[in-house]
Amino acid sequence: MIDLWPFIIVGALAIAAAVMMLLSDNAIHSALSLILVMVCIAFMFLMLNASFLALIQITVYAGAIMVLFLFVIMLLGNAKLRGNPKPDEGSARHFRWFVPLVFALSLGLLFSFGFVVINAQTGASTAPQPAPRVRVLNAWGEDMPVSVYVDAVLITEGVAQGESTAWFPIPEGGAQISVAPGTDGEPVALDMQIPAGEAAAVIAYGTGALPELRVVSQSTSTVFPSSQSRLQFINLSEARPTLQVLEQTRGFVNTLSALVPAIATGQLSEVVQHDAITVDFAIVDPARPDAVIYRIDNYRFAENDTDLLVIMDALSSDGAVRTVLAPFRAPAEAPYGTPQQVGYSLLTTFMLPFQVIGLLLLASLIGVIVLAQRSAKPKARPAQRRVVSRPLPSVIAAQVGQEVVTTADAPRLPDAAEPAPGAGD
Amino acid sequence: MVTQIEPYVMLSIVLFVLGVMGVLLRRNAILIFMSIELMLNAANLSLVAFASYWGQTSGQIFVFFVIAVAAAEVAVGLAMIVAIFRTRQSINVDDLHQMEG
Repeated sequence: MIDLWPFIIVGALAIAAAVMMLLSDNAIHSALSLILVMVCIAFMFLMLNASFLALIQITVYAGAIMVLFLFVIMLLGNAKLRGNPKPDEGSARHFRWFVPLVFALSLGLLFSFGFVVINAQTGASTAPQPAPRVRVLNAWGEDMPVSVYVDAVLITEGVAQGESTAWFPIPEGGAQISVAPGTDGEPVALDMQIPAGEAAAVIAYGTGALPELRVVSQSTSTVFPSSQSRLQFINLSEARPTLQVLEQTRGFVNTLSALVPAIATGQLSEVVQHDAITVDFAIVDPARPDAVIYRIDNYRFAENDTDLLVIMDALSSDGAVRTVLAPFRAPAEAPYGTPQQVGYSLLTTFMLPFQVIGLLLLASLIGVIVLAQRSAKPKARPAQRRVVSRPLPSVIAAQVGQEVVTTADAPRLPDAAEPAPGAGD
Repeated sequence: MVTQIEPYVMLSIVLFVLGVMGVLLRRNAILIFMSIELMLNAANLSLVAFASYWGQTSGQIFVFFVIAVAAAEVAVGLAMIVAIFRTRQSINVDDLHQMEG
């Protein structure tokens, strides 16, 4: 639902200001009305959860572009721009009531701004929810890539052990996720349904001939504060019942600590927030903390990341089972319409159009400079005279082989000022 | 939760029609130019409304590009208006008929 009353007030103000822009005889009044329309549209952007665009609209449109308009109107002289020479008889007289109306609606705009900003601060506004998203992690014991299907449609193939697919959307009504070994193996299917705006990871694990699947819900919201990273462990190792993850930070003092309590097989740990630093991880048996089962050195937490670390069984080529810790990273996504999100897609998906727009702005800059130089000295050209070394008749005469006649004794018509004798009856 | 966009699209249509009327009815080149800006803004509003409806960023990126193109267009257009005014002492579009066939 939209907030109806702020919408009606601001929409009416926008239409009234646009009508004023159309009907005003004074170009400056038109420009000021257009600024009001743009502020109203910025407000609409704010109500549509496009906060970045709302600010761009005010700074670029209402600020830069309209100031340019006002400068040009000022430069050309406002009086000369009036369409109607007698302003009292123009259409403006019939719309005198517009001024108090626009004044009242502007007050409404101010209150509506306050209302919408308070709603955004308290989280009462509803940002659009993206489609539910899923990624598939390959933590299967066999060292073989897997293919991923959604409702029997191939999404990705060749996902190697320890890797994951990118996020892909699934229908809100639920979907069947299938994971098949290799490119044409027998698929293992799983029906899942998650609400819009949420995300889940499907983990393929186990040491059997076919992977088993497990769904873990994931949070993709921004980590706060952003210098931190979010991580969660899951123990999917059948070989060892309970395991403990130890973390060694290296800094001024080396510290060794248990990041989360011991995790039993099939159990998911709490989500912990962690500083974005480099650490070493070790998996140990809680009964024998000295014997390290597996370790990862120099694990770098990226800022604003949501990492899922899977303790899994991996089959060696000789058939022995090793317990390893596989990290699956996922960068957190910025909320809808924020500068962070718009900037991210500008610099990834829309990089080429972004650069083309930059080129266009450069071209228009050069065009404006050329236009300004042309118009700066319009009278410079007529002042110049072509300098001809010889009179034109002599040049033509020389080319056609005739005798050159000097201008002094050539026959010539009488001047127009003195009429010829006998011509004035 | 889906944003209700019909009112925004209605408002966008009304503003666009007002812009078209401005282009057709006014004879002042600067006012015609302002009406074009109004039409661009109306189109931006519907782009943002539909982007919000589908929960996608692409519509917002397009609006960003439209604003950038509008800035370039305004700079060149106003420079042309100033140049025409200097040579002809008028920016009434009815006076500009030297290109008619």
